[in-house]
Amino acid sequence: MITKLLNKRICDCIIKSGKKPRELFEIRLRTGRPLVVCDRYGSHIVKDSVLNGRSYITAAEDIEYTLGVASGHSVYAVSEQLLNGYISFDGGIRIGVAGEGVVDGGKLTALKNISSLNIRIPHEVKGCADGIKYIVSGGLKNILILSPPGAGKTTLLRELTRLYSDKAYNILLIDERNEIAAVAEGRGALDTGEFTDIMSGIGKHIVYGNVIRSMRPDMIVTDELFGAEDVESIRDIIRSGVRVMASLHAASLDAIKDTVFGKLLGIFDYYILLESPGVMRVVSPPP
Amino acid sequence: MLSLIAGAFLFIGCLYGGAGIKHYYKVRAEYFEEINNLCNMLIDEITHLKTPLIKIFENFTYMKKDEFSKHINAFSELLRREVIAERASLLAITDTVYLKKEERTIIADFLSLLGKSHSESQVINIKHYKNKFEEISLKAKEAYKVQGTLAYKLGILLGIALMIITI
Repeated sequence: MITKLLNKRICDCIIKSGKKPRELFEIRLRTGRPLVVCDRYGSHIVKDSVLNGRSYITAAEDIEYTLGVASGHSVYAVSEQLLNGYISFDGGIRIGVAGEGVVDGGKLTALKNISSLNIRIPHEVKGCADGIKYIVSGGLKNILILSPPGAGKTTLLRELTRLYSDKAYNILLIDERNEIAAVAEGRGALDTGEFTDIMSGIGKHIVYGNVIRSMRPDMIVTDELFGAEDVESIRDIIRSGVRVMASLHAASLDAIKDTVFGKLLGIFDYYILLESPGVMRVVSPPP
Repeated sequence: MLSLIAGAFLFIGCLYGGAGIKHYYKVRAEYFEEINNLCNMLIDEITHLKTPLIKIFENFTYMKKDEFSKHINAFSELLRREVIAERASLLAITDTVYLKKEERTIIADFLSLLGKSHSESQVINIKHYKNKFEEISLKAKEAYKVQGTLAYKLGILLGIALMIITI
């Protein structure tokens, strides 16, 4: 899947550098800068397979190619996503984008001259939640997963969702960026369990208001809470008796205390702090 | 008897010649009519539904076999094969006797900008090219009506004249 997104020369360079595309976590393309790939061992600059010894320098055409493929050669069809800084691609791949913003009336209306892409490749790691399986065994709980970017929040969230779903709880998965289940043509490419209903590509606040009453979930799962609106919605849902499992970008619980996310402290049963992939700490009862 | 057969052949030859010229103008008129139809469809689909290009092309060319649909299918195929459509390949797609060189250039430019920008600027660009195509379309229709019909009639007359002379 990932090779489809990259032009042939980049693919050749990555393969000849000894990296297997499916084992990569990230591929970073920056116009005029070296091509960088990231795997479990860290970040690596990719050598050019033609110009021996030199780094592969990403060209604007490389970025244009990836954008073309990712958008189905229809940038206008993903302009909403671009404004949010990413494009979703098949298989749960998310492409972060950076470029020049076009602001009109104080509002970002378009992104042009895209100069950087960060292709993030999801990895399904079954068993990554084995160390905290007791949480799932204890029944439905409110769980908040916190970590800095790249520590494996989404992977852990997906695995916990699968474990709860396999216990026959009805799970409503709000997969706004299509990273958790990687839905393509109505079916999730990644395993989130048999009892999971997936709403993908829709803003959380829209789903919170409309779908919860009709789908009657036992638990709502959502990735990357952002802003006061999400916080208030989560508080409302927990107050209504539906369990919530969510993730949040944060280095520690202390880091959110004096922010809008401080309101999330004390309302979850478990706070799972991920320091790096596989290294986690569970805080319970809530502080 | 031989002169009668020769006269008949000359008549049919001239008739075909006239019909061929008329057909040339007809295909050109239809070609630009179809481009305008595609522009309208693109504007609608991009503005309201944000349908991806390949899907729009599929719907547009469904069950069609005209010259323009052939070109659009070839362009779709390039996109499907994830080939960045360069100017040379776009000019190659539109290589046909029915189009003039400058018309092919305009069409290649038009195709090359599709799918490259946000919906607002995309629609503005499409409208800009639509205006150009409408101008060419009007001229092509006029040419079909005047020159095409004239060529056909002249073909018949010339055929009759040659047949009479031969007989």
